[in-house]
Amino acid sequence: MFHAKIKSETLKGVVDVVSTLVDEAKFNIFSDGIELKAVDPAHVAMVDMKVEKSAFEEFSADETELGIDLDKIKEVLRLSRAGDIIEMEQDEAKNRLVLHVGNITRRMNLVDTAGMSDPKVPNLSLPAKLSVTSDELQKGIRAAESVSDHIALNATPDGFEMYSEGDTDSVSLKLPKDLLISLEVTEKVKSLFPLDYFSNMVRSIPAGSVVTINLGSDFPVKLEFEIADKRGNVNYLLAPRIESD
Amino acid sequence: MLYHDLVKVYQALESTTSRLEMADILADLFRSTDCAHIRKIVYMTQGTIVPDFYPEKLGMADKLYIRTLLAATGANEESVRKLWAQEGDLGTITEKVYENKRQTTLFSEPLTLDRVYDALLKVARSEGSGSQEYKTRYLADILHDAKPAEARYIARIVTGRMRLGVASQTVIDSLAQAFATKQDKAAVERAFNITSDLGLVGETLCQKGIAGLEEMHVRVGNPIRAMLAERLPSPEEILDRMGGQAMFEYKYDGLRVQAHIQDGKVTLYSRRLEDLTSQFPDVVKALKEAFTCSSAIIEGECVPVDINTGELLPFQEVSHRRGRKHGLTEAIEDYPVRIHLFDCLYLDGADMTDEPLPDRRTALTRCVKITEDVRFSEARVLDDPAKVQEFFIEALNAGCEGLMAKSLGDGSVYRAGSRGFLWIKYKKEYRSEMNDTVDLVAVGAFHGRGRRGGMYGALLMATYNEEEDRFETVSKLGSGFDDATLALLPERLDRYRLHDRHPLVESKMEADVWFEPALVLEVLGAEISLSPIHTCAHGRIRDGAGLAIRFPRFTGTFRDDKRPRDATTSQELYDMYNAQMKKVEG
Repeated sequence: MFHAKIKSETLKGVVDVVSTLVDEAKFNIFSDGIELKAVDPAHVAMVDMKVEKSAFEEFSADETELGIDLDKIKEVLRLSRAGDIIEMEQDEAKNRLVLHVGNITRRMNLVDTAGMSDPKVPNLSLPAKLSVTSDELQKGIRAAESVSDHIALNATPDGFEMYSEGDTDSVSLKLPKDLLISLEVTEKVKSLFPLDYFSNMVRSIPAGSVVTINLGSDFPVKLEFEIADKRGNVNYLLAPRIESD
Repeated sequence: MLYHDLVKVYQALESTTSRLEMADILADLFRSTDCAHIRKIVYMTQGTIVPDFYPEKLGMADKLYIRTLLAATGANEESVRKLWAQEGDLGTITEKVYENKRQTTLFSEPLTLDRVYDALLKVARSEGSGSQEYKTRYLADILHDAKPAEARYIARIVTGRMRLGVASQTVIDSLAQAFATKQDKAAVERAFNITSDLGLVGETLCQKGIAGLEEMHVRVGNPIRAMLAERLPSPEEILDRMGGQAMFEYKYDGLRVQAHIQDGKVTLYSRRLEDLTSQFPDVVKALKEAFTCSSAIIEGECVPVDINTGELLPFQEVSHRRGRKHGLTEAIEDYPVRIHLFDCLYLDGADMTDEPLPDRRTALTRCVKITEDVRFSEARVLDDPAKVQEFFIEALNAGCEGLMAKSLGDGSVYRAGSRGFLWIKYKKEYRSEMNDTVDLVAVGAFHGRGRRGGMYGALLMATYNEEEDRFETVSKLGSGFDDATLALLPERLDRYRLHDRHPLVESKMEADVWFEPALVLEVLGAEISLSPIHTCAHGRIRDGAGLAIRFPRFTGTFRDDKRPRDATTSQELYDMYNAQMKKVEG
């Protein structure tokens, strides 16, 4: 059983974070909130998300799984305005999800979750940790986009750098320690990432958020941030590229 | 066992062309392998995952495979398409994609043989709506963890083009070598011929040794590999070879079928051991009614019959049914089929394959009563070449291909899976005589595969329809080109290359490349048949079917003297088809 009401902008934040990586996803519903783990089809990136019951206007549920086609939720979101309340209800008999917004009722078939197992979150011990605003990350990505299709994230005890090198040009955004919210780095680390993934992931982080970056050398990066007015949190993982010789 | 270990063996197999060396390599592998893995290795090395008579088939469409490859590796679509046009071999393309892959994944576990096998089985078993989605998912799961060389062979096996060059005979040799001696080869071969399951033979050998093979028997439900015939050109030579006398029977132009009957249940297998039961419910029903014993394996030829005249029709009328899932009822009504039985390999618990032919024929007549749809093959024992010739003409006039001569001696056993002079066919290729060459227009082309990678592999050829001013496809032309001509084709054709199908070209096929109808080639075909995919004279003989030239061959002559509208017309081909269908004269 699942029945909830949620602000349309809150739901949009949740959907954006997930739809960056997958078109369909399995939401695990509990009595105190929802959780989701999903990995993109190429196994390069992963999202691990929890949203508390209190992020909803109303929420009552028994433990269940809902396989959802995210494009369909986006279609409903396009029919709503900020401040609208969207009501969601599971129709167990017909295996459907029913959404109400204003006078509109949208019924959608749920996706079969039989083949969708929860990915195991890799156990990583990443030596460097720092926090930065999402706006700084956006700036670094914009700078890199015209230069290359990948981006290096470097951290030293003195600061953080986003660096891209193309065939002819290179670009770097350096953030010394005093421009960062926090920095816990003992020795220099560096990993290279595909810019398209990194950029799409960062773009789905709510503006003005604080992002905690966990980094190693030639290791996946972990991005931690909050959504749904701090009543939900997200971990993104992104696998590195190997530098070409 | 890691899949990587099997891949190393594949690479060794591909580095030699010597059959003896291949058998040695495989024998070493079998000796060092757990018995539980032998079956899977035998199937996969031959490019399958189950014996031929099981329903699971690999052969994922190239486009679906490429889509999966792109999703699983995140490779750039444009560069993969470019590679595809250059290389034409999915294995090579895949390996290159993996070698250039710089992106790592979040999880990685080494691929085991079992994991690859299970994924391939799931791919083969996904059917119906949404199956593409599932196939993609199962395949992606193993592609994620594949190394470049592993991915190469996964690509090849899943698309049904393993092509390691390992024949069943080589596997038989290597199994004998690994688990017995080279002298035991005949016993291994016999076990394969009566079970058609080399994986099972290998597993039995591994577990129980050569003694285990003696426990393998002819069994209802396990198709027996078909006995094949040699060929001689005249009744005199045939009688000579047969010791002066033989049984001659009509050689029906139909579909050879092996029927397995037990407890009122009938299963039909084709000569290539595919299960045909669902495509011939009428034959199943007729056999149930005609069969009077409790269990048997019998062989016969399914022939389509003209309901109005009672005459036999050419084989292509049966082929309308093959692989058909929809409209089967209509097909049965339109092309009813009669089965002519000619052999009995097993009857009520007794293996008949080692009995001489007269005894097998007797067994057959004992367990079957003749009905409208179940007959015996028309047969006569003859010793005079003139009588044979007479019978031959009779057979041709009845719509048959010719005669089969079969030895009647004590040694006239059923030699499963082998071709020999116990059976000799005598036939006239009258149907293959397309009396003249035709001049066809190239309207499209397909990218070459394998040795022809990077070139055109085949051309889509058309006749000209004068009434409607259209070019109608009639054949896919791939043979008759020598290497030099093949290499020069792009030079001759690329100036006519188009982005899309030319508006005057009628085609149901999607060519990889389209041309403006311009170049005319002289082509020799074996015969003309009805075809649902070609548009030549479409619908004139039968709704939904056009005419196709079977086994076309380029004569080597470019008819540069002809303009496309001077090519052979659809009307001419229609006339040729009708002439071909007339009976041969006695």
